[in-house]
Amino acid sequence: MQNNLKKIYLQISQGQLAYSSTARYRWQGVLFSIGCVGIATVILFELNLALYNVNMVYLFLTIVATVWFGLAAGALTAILSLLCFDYFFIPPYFTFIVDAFQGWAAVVLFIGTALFANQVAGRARLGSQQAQQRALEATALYELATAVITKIDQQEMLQLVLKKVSEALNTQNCTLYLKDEERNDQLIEIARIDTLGTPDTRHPDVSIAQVVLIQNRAAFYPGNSEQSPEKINSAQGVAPNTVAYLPLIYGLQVLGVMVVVGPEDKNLDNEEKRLIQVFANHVALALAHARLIRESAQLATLRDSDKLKSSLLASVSHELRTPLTSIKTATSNLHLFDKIIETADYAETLAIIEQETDRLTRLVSNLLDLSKIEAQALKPDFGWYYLPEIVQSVLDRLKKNPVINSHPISAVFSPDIPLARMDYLQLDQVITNLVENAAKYSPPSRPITVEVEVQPTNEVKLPDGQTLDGYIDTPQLLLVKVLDEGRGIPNSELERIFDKFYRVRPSPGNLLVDAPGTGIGLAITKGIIEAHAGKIWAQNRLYGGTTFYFVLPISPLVDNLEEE
Amino acid sequence: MPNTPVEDFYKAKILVVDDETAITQGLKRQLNSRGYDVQTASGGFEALRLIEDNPPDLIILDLMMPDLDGLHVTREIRLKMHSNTPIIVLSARGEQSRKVEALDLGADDYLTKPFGLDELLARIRVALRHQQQVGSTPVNATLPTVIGNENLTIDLSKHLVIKEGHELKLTPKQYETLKYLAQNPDKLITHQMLLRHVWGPEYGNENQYLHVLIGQLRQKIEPDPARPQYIITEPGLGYRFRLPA
Repeated sequence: MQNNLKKIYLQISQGQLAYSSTARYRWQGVLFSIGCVGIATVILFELNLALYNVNMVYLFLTIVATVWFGLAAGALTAILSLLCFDYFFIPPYFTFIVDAFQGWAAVVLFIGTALFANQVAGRARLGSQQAQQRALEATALYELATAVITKIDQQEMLQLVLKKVSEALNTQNCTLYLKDEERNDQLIEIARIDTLGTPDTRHPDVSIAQVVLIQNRAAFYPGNSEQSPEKINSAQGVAPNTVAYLPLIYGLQVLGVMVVVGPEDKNLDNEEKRLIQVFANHVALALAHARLIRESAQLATLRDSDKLKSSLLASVSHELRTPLTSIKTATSNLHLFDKIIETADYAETLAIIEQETDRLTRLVSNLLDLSKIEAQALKPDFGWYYLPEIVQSVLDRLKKNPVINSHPISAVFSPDIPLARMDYLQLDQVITNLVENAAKYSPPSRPITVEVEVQPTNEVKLPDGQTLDGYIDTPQLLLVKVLDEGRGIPNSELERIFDKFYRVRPSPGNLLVDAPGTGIGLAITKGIIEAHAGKIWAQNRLYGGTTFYFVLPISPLVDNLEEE
Repeated sequence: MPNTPVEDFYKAKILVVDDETAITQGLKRQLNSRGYDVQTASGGFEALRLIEDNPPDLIILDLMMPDLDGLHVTREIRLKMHSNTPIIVLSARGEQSRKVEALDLGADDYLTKPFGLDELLARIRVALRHQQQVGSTPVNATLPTVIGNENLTIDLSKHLVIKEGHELKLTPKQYETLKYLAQNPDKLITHQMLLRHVWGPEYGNENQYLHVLIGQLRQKIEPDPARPQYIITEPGLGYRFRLPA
């Protein structure tokens, strides 16, 4: 008995719903009835107890049998008890004859009480069994719901949901088909859980699922009939329905089809069908949930790109218009000069056109670069270069610009700088941007310095105190600093200056920010450095001004150059 | 603006190929005013026809053209016509790989649009001068045996490189690289050309070797490797040898 109970308990705790477990324990119920009635009769007979006590003991056994083994076992126990009672305890003894009124009363009372007790105990047993099943369903549904909410990735979530369904229903196979998003009436298999056991050769069948999808109606089929034809003919003459195809309905839409292949030769009863339907509803909800998450992410991206576009228009249209206006004015002036020629004016006007064309050219190439970075198409054309050469050529070029040359510009290179892997032109652009930026945001005659040095990777610290170990995987790196003595950048904006179109907001103490600009330069600079597996950041200097830092990894070089 | 007398190449015939008439006409006017004889073509096929009918002294070739692009034209000229007329290719920004391809196919130089007239004239002069030297002298006859100035001398006959009076110790590959560059002054030598010449024809993509070697060479010959005077980097393309005036 204890064992049987343990088995039932184990089965329940393993998550299976023990619907018809009674059937499996019927013979044990018979054994119990015969055994306990026999033993009780012997003991009672030996003890020679009063009649009402004997009656009580038999009643007790009947109730126990009903509660533990079901109505049938209870009824059997009751009949056996009645026979024994009559035979051994009601005079005349050792006959089934009842003569005295006393005896009749005892027998009738016993039958009445036993039948009634049997009924009550049976109902209680059924009730507790159902309650247990409900509890299990509730747990399974709870786990399902948790899976839906906690897993972000749709594939992972569906796999988990299906696993829960498969565990709860003890299935051989559980498969999920979803509508193809492009070809709307095609189903594609999206998740599948196979458990041990002989695989069903016919189910799940995508063409049946297709029909279920179109008809939007659940369908049930007999399982692996090829393997067990005799089972079809036996018993009720109908093969048990063990396979369920369920449309996943959300609102007015059918999202897909779930297929559940149950254990072999166990007919799905209404209770199980209902449960499968509940699970199917949950899977549909899960799918809808996943789709909503996806759509809201897309919406967020769209909204971001929309915001990006409007800030692009706001910041760039002014920058585009200004040089165009200058050029247009200059050419109109040239037309005028045809009549009144003044050489100095002529040359000046030409210089304006040239200068403004250069400005436009730079702006257009910046925009193109930015769109490349946006599309992640900025692929450096790597070579092995000596960074000081690039820095020096940029400085020599920029010194021709009178605005930049109003600052004393110097470069400091530590003596041991190795070649590093970089795109020459992109690094040229980075240094140009940083130096131009430094010149733009610091008062004339304040010095600008560019420093290049080699540092061990684990000794370079970011502003937040972190080392670069996570970012750069080479033991050494090139550290480049561009130092200016401008007004600095408000600490709260130090991180945002590398954002696209971001400009430091003018503030009373910070008048220099009116300088023209699009907020593209630093975004490109950052994009380039990141495409080089490096990192860029800015920090305010202790006594005024800003330092821009960037680092590039130093990969080891080949040294078998000359094999002669 | 130009300080080299144009008369050297007076009436040199230049073919300008571009599908933009604004560019061909603009260049034609400017080059005409400098004394060059200019023809224009608005596409690859037309260009090839003109080259066959009336071979020019120099070709300015746009890489991006709708009918037959500059790469095809370069290939036709070099491989089918066996002509070594100097070719200067014009490319838009961001067409680095086409540019490299054109140069490796045998184009002599490049300009990135938009470019200034001075720049173009300088490139034309270098290309024509180079062509004159190669064309007017029998192979190997009067190639200079000593290249250099008072600071750096490369003596090709003695295999010596002397910097400020001291002989430099160069490895064979360093010497070979320097020699090859110096024999083609002002001319753009691509990575591939250098690798094939110095390492052997089976090389071509091992740019890292080359960059490292140039780095070492500069340490030896340049007074300040951060400001190279002799070996000038053409980013992503190759190097140019220049003798400071």
